[in-house]
Amino acid sequence: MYKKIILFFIIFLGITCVASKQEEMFLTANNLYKNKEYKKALDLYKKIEKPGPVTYYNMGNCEYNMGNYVSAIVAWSRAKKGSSWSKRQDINYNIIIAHDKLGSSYEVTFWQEIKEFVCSYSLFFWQVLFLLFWFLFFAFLMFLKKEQNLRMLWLFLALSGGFIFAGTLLIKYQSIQYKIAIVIQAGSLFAGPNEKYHQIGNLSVADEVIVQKSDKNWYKIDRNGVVGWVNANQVEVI
Amino acid sequence: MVKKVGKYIAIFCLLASSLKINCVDVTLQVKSTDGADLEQAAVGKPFVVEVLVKDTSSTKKPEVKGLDGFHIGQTGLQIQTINGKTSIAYTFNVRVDKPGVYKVGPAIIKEQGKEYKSEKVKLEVAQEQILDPDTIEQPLEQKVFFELASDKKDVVVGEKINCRFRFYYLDKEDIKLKGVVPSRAKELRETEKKGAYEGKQKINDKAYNYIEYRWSCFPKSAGIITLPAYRAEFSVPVTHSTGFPRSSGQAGQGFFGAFSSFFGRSYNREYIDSNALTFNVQPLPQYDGIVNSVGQFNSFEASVDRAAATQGDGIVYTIEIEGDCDLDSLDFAKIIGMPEQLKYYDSKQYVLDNSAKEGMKKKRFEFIVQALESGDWTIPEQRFTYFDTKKREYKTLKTDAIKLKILKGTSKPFVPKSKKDLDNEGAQVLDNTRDKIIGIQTYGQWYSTNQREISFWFFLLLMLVPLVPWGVAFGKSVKRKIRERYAPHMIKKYAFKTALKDLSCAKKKNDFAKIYSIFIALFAQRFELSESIITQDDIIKILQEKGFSQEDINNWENFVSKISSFVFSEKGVVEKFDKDTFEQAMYWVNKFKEKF
Repeated sequence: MYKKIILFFIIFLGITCVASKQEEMFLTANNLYKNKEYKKALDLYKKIEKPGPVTYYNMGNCEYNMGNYVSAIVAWSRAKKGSSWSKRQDINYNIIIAHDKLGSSYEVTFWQEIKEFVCSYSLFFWQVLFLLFWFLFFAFLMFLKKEQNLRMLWLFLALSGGFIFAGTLLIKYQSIQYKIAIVIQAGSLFAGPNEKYHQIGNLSVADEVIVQKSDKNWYKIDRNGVVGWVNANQVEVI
Repeated sequence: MVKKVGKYIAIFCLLASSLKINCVDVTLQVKSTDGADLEQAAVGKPFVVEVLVKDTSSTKKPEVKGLDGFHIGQTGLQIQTINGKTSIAYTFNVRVDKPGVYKVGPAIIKEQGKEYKSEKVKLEVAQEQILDPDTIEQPLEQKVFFELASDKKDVVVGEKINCRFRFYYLDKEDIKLKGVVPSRAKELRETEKKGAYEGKQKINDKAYNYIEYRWSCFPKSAGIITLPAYRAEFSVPVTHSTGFPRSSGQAGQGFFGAFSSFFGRSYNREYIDSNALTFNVQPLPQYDGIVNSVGQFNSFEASVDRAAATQGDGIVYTIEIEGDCDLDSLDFAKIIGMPEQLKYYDSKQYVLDNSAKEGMKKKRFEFIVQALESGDWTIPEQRFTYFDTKKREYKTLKTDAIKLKILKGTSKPFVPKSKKDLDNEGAQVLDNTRDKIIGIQTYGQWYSTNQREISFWFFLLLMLVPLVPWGVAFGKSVKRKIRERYAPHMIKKYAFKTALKDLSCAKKKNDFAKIYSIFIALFAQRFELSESIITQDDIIKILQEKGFSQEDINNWENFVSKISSFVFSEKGVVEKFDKDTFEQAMYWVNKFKEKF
């Protein structure tokens, strides 16, 4: 009995030690960044085993200050996963500046803002919210059976709410289903997964594309409605 | 004796056959892509070098001499075994980009320590005679053909060559172009292909449709440059006869062949090679000085957005050139003769497609000029020297000199940091805060956690939960409504069934008294009357209406009087009566059922 307790204690201690070591790395890297030792800070951030959004964000800052704007955009894009909405806006601000440096433009449209807002919350959150609404909706229907007045108004409100929640859930599912990639090397877009295929367009550095599928060393991507194939070495999947 | 002779003969045959097995035959052939023998190949067009190895046991690739200088593409291998003998055909898809006479081979294969060689094959490679669709005299057999064409063959270095390829296919044929595999020549710079342009052309009284793509090429060096053949992939409906000409590579109809027509239309993927293009590129004639471009030019102008500015302010100096040339590569890096007191920076350059003249485009180069000292300054004329491809001579265009008046100012000189910022209208001084990113985060979720989520199917199941009580309640109300609506009808419909069922129950219990009430209920349900008011007279009236004879009615009356007496008699008396009463009752129920 005692042996089991001691074993459990040792394992627990081990886990906490590992966790604290990782945190120490994070804090040390922060200090290095503040002292403008960006390369060392970046190397330390990369050593963190399971980096979260804050780590990716700081990595992006390090890359930016080292002049690697494309790598910074990639790291910041990764940082968006799991970040709150306000933090996403900060990340977008940084990305816009990095694009300026590269001579390209990056716009956050109204639709993108909505998507950012939805994605800033977890899927579990939206699922629970939707289910809550769903149960309340049926409870409402029972209430409406008895209350004749304002029936249409309540029904309208309930259905509108239903559409909004269903819409946000769909947006969230879609964001999980499709991977985003950043173009790290300018090149051509081909009609098939081989350079011998017809060239159908060009890709500029730091372009954001949606990855539809992969075939060996090629990705099928969608760039603003133009679908084609690009070599995997030219893009970085977020 | 006979046995000995037979043994020696058998051994001799074995030896002879083993010798035969070890005799490998190697043949080298040159063929076109559709399998026909070839004596002369076209420059830049693929053909096949086939090495056939018979009676071999090794699948090691043969070494083929004489293929240096050939562009080798796909290689293939086909193995055939007949009567235990294996033959392997090795194919090499090759291409030659320069005309001449070549010796291909020998093909050498090593097997079991021995070397087997094929013969050498002499091959002549010459320029292909391009079939000009407009001048063909003989009727064409082909359903498709693929043409690569250019507007010029003899050019100078840097001169624009307009190229196009056209895929022709017979009108009313269900042929679809699936894709084009382009080839490249490293000595040519090519622009992006524009298309597809569709059109129709009549060739020898046959209507052809075509799909066309256009682009431009610019040779980078002098010499004979070959743009190799393009390959078009297309789909063609499967035909049972070999009606499709063998001018293109054929994938074969496959195992199902003729049966495929039963399953709807099926298609074969085929390919066809175009001709190659050869350009004779001459070097530019000698010129003492800088040559900016090759082509034809219409205008070369310079302008400023304002002629007067304060010291330190930026002035946009624009040089615009209009011409038909390699505009993408055209660059104007330096402003010649700029006074020292005027500093200039590269801003941007872009191409405009709004030229009034056909084929011409404009390119603009913008510079930011900053005067470090006040005074009157002049940006001198700029020169642009080019080789006119029409007149075949050098020409020079000049801009006007531009005078600037710089006033004394107190503003500090700025250094442009970003081209993007200068695109904004009215922006004279950069907003430096835009360069600063938001700083790092020192707290928050620096490690990743597993995101919780409800699995999709479980989520759907949860969504169905509130629907269940609703569904049940809804189902119940529907059932109740149906019952209410159809109850009288159901009662009437099942009256006889109910009566028979009640009779059998009564029989089991020996409940003679119940018989009378069963018949009352039967008539009440069947004729939708109330049980409390129905009388014998009503029943007899009904029987008369339904066509019962008087005898039947009398028998019925006797039966009724008998069963009605059961209702009031004591139990012991009832038992005295025969048990056939129930059978009689059932008889009457069935009789009524027939009549009613």
